[in-house]
Amino acid sequence: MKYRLEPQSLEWINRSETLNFSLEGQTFSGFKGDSISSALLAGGQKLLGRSFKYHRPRSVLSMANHDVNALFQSGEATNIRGDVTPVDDGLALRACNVNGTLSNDRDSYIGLLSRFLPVGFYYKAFHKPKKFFPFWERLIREKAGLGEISTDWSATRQPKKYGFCDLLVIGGGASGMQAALSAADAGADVVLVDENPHIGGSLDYQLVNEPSAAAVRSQLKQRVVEHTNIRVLSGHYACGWYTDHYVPLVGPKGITKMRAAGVIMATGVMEQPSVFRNNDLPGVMLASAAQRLIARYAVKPGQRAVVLCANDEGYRAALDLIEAGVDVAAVVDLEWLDKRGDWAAQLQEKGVPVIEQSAIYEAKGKTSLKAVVVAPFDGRSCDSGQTRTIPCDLLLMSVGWAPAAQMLYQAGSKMAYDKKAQQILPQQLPKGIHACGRLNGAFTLEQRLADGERAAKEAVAELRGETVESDIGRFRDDRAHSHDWPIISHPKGKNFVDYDEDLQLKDLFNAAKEGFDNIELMKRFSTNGMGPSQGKHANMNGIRVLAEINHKSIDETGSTTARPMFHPVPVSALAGRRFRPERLTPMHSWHEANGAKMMEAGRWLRPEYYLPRTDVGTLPNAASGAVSASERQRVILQEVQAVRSSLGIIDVSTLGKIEVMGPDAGKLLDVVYTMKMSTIKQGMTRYALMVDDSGVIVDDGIVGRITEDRFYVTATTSHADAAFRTLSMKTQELGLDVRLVNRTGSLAALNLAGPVSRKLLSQLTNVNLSEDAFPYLGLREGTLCGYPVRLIRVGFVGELGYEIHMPADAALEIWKTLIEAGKPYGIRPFGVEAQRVLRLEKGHIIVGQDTDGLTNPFEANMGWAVPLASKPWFTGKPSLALLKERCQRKLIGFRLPQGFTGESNGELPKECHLLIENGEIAGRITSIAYSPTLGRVIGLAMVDLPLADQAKPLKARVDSGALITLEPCATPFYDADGTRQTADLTEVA
Amino acid sequence: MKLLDCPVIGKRPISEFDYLGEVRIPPVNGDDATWADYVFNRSGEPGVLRERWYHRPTGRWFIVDRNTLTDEVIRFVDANEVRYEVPA
Amino acid sequence: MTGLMSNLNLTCRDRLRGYLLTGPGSQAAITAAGLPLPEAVLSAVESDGALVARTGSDEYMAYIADPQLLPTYDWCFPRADRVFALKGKRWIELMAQVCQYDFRQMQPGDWLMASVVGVNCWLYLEANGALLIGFDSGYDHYMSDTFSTLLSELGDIESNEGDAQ
Repeated sequence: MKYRLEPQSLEWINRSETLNFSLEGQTFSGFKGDSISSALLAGGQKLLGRSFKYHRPRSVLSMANHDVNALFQSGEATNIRGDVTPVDDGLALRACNVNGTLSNDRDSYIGLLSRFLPVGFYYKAFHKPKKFFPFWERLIREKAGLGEISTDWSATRQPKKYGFCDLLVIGGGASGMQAALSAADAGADVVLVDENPHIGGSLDYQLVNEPSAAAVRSQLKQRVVEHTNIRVLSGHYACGWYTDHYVPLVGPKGITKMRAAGVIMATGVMEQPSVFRNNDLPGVMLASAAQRLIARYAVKPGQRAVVLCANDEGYRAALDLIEAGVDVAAVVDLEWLDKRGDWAAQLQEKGVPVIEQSAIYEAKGKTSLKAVVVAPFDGRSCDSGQTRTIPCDLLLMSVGWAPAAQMLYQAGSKMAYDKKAQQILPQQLPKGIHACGRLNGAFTLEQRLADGERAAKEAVAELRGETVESDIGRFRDDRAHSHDWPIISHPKGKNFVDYDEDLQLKDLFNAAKEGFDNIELMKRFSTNGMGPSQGKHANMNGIRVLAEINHKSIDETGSTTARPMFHPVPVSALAGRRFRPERLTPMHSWHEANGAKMMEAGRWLRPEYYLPRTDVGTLPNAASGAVSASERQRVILQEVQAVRSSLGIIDVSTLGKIEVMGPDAGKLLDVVYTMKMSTIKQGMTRYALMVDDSGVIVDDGIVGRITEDRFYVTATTSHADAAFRTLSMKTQELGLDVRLVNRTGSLAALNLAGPVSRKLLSQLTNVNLSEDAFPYLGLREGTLCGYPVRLIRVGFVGELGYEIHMPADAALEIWKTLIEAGKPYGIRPFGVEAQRVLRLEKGHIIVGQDTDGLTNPFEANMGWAVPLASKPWFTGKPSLALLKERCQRKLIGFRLPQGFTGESNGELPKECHLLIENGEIAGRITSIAYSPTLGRVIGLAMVDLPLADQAKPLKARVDSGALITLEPCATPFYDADGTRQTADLTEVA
Repeated sequence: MKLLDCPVIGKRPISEFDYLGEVRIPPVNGDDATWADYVFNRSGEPGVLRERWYHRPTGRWFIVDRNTLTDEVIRFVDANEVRYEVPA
Repeated sequence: MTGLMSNLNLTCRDRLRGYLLTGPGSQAAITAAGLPLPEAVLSAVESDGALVARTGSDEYMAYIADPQLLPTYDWCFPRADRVFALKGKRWIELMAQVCQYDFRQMQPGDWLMASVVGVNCWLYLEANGALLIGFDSGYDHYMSDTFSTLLSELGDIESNEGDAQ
C-alpha cells in the first residue's frame, strides 16, 4: 500500500485489519473500511476501468457512488461500483467491459475510430437493411456496455420492512444533522438517513482540516447519536420519493419503506467536472474525490498536482493536498483571485502560484495524466495561442456543483436557476417537503447550520398544522460556487460531457444540429445522462451546452426528470420476501393425503383431480406433478363416471357464502340479481344471476330463503369477495335495513352428487330427504353427524345431489364420515376438472370461462333469467332491455364426430381456439372436453350471429392451423328433461 | 404508495382499499341516451370527484370528495347524502 | 413456534371461539350473556375469558374462551378464526415486516383491522403485552409459515443499532 498516508483524523479504515483481494489475478491488500477503488489506488493501481464506448482508460472521478467507469465483476455480482463498495477478504475482481485485461484492452482501438462514430451513429447506420440488425446488435452489445450478467445466478431475497417517522432527514451532513437536531429538540420523531457508512457529510472530508469546523462537527455528531428522538440510518440511501412521503431506504440488509409525515432534503450537491480535452484521463478527478480519498481512506491521490478552480472550495482542496504531502504545482482559476476568500490567501502564503483567468485547455498522457496544458480563458473559450504546459500526475477540478435535487423534482418541487449562485435552487416546495444546506444554496458552515435550523422549524410548524411562510432563501450564500461555463472546446475533441456514455462536446452540438435541440430529445438522441450514473455529472453541463446552443437561459432550457431509483437497487432488495397468500379449505389435509393434484383458484387451492392410492401404484405422488396426460384424463373420466353411475363428492368450500338478513333483505336481492328473489318461498332456492350496469354477466350462484327476513346467498369462488362488496354497497346506496355476514371462511361446503346420494345422506341426517318433503332446489336446515348444516338440492352437475353447508371446524369430520359411509357405493371424490365435464354435459355455463367481459345473459341463452316485463328494476335492467333485440353473438353447443379422439384423426381443438368462417373470425370455443357419458367430444362456443342460428358445421382453427369441423347441437347434451336431478338410482334404473 | 386519511380508521395505505370509482346515481327513469351515458361515459377531467372506497380489513365503505389533481381528500361524505331510490 | 423466549414468542389462542353478532338485538345479546360491551366503533374490551370488539353500529365480534358466555341470539354466527398471540420485545420489529402500520403507537387495549401480509386481520394488544392476530383459518398454513420464518430469523438475533422500527 505504497500510497497510503499517515493516519488521518477521521479516516474510515481500520488499520488493524488487513484484507487481501485480487484484481485480474494480481493480489492487492487493503484495510477494513477501504472501498475497492481506494484500496487499489493505495496499492498503486491507477487504472480502474475502461469506458463504455471507446474503451478509454478511466479511474477515480467522484468517490461518491458516481464512478461508473470503475465497475467490477466478482462471481455473480456485476457492475460493482468500486468507489463505494467495501473490499472484502478473498474478493476476486475483474474489470467490466474489457476485452483482455485493463492494461491491455484489445478494444481500445475503438477510440481511434471515434471520428467515424458520430452521435446517433447506431440509430442511423444499423437499421437498414433490417435483417442485419441482429448481427449489429450482438456486436455492439459485446463491444459496448457494462458487466456481464451471470445467467447461472442464485436467487436471493432481502426482507423489506415498514418504517414510520414524523420527519425524515435525508443527508447527514452539517445542515442535515442540524435540521435533525432542531426538529428532535422540538419533539419530532426523526429519522436521519445517509448513504455513507458514517454521518458527517462534507464536514468530514471537505472541512476535515478546517479548525473552525472541528468543534461543530464533534458536537453535532455526538448530539445526533445521543438524541432519543433521532434514529440514525447510516449506510442507507433514499432511493426515491413517492406520494405521501413514502421513501424507500436501501441498506445493506434490504429496504426500509419509510413513511414520513414530512421530509427534509439535506442531500447536498454533486461536484461537476470541467469539460476539456482528455478530461477523462486517470489522474483527473473532482476536487472532492481527492478530499474523500485523503480524509476517508488516507490515500495519497497523486504526487504533483494542478488544481482547477472556479470557487473557494478548490483552494481548500489545494491546501488539503499540501497537508497530505502532495506537491501542488499551480492553481488555475477560471476567474480572478480577488473573488476568493481566506483559503486562497492561505494557499498563496504557502507560495503556490495561482494562474488567474485561465483554464485547462488539454490534459496530456496516454494511460494516465502526465501534464496539463493551461491557456488564458475569457469566460467562454481559451486562447490556444498562449498555452503553457505543466507536468503533473493529478488534476483536481473544482468548478462547480449541481444540487442532488432528484427527489425534490420527484416530489414536484419548483426549481429555478439562480444566477447569483450559478446553481439550480428550489423555489417552491410542495407540502411536507423542505430543503436545506448546499442543496438550497447555503454554502458556508454558518449558513448551512442556520439553514438546517430554519428548515426544521418550518417542518415542525407544518407538522403541528400551523401556517408556515417559508423563508427558504434566507441563508443562501451571495457568492457563486459554480462557474456558468466550465466548458472548453478543442478541435481534436475528446472533451467528455458524459463519462458514462463517452459523449463529447461535439456530440451535443451535432445532436442539436440534427434538430434534437430540446433537452428531452437531446438526452434521448445523444444518450446524455442515460448511463448508470443517470447524468449525475453530465446533466448540468449538458443543460449549459444546450442553453448556449439555443441562446436561451437555463430555466428556458429546462432539465430532464430524474426518476427513481437514485442509485441502482438490487432486485433482491426490491423483491423482498415472498408474500403470496394461499387459502386452504378445512378438507385440504384429506385431499393431499388422498392423491389430490391441487390447482389454484384465486387464492384458494382446490383439487383438480385425485389419483387414488390404489391407482397410484408405483407412480410418483400425484402432488409432485409427474402425472402423464393420459393418466390425468383417465382418472378424471373415472370421477365423472362415478358421479353419473353412483356417487361422487366434491369440496366446494371456496364458494362465496353470504347471510342476508333484515326487513329489506328481499328488496336488496331483487336489486342486485336479475330474477325476483323476494318471492322465493321459505325453504326454496333460486338461480341467482348478477349483471353489471351494462348488462354483462359478472357472477352467478343461488339465493335461498331461510325465513321471511333471512336469505342465504352463494357466489362463485373468484367473485365471492366482490359479490359481498356489491351487496354491501347497494345496501348503503339504497339505505336499506339489511345486515350482511360474509360466511365464506367460517362455513365449508361440499356437493354430494349421484344417484345414491339421497340414500347415503338419509343415514346420517335428521332432515327428511323424500322428494315431496325436500324437492329439487329446496333448502333445509338440520343436523348431519350431529352438526348444524344447511342442505341444498342443486343440479350443477346434473344428478341428484345435495350441497351441504357446514361449520368449517366440523367439515373434515363430516367429509370423512361421508367418504366412509359411501365406500359400499364406490364413492369417489372428484375435482374441479371432473366437475367441468359434468356441468358441460348439462350445458351449464361457468361465468368467466363461457362468458367474458362483454357477455350478456341473452348471448348465454339465459333470457329466462331476465324478467324484463315482470320486474320494475334490477341492476342492469335498462341495458338488458336494449340488448335483448341486439345480440351479436350467442353461446351454442357443438360436438365432434363420434370416434374423434384428437389422436389419429386430427388435432383436438382447445378452449379459446377461434372459429373461422370465410376466412374471418366468427367465434371462439369457450369449453371443450371429452364426455365419457356421451362417448364423444362436446363443447360450447360463442358464435357470431347469424351463424349461431344456422345448423351448419363450424370450423375451428387449431394450433397447427388446421381447420377442424364442429357439429352444432342442442344443449343440454345430457338428460335434457332433467329427470336425473330428482331421481334415485332405483327410480331411474 | 398512498395513504387515505380516514376520520374513522385513521391513515391507511390504499393497498388495503378497493377503489370503486365515482359515486353515480343511476338515472332510473331516464331515456336510452341518458342511460347509455351513465353506463359508458366517465369524465376524466381533473377536479373534485366524489368517490367510493372499500376498506377490506374492516369491510367498511367510505365516500370521499377528492381532488384528483392534487390528491387531497376534501371531505368525507355521509352515505345518507348520496342515497337514491329505485322503482319497486 | 418460538424464537429466543426473551425476544419473540408465538402461540395460538385455540381456546378462543369467535362469533359475529349483528343487527338491532346484538348489543342486548352481548350484555345478557355477561360479556363486556365496547362503546366506540372499532374499539374492543376484554374481561375474564372474553374479548369483544365493536365493528359496526350494531355489529360486534366476540371471542370467548368460556362457553358459558356464549350469547343466545338469532343473528350470532360462529367465526372460524385462527388467533395468534405474539409476545416479546421484538414484536414491533416483526410486525414492521408484515403490516403497514406504525405499531409503536398501539396501546394495550387497542383494536385494529388491517392487512397483514395480504390477509385481512384483526389485531388486539392485550394488557399483558401480547399482540393477538386473528384471521380466517383458511390462511392458517400460510400465516404459520410466514410467521415461523420471521420468528426464526428475528427470534435469536439481537437488535442492531440503526434499525428503524
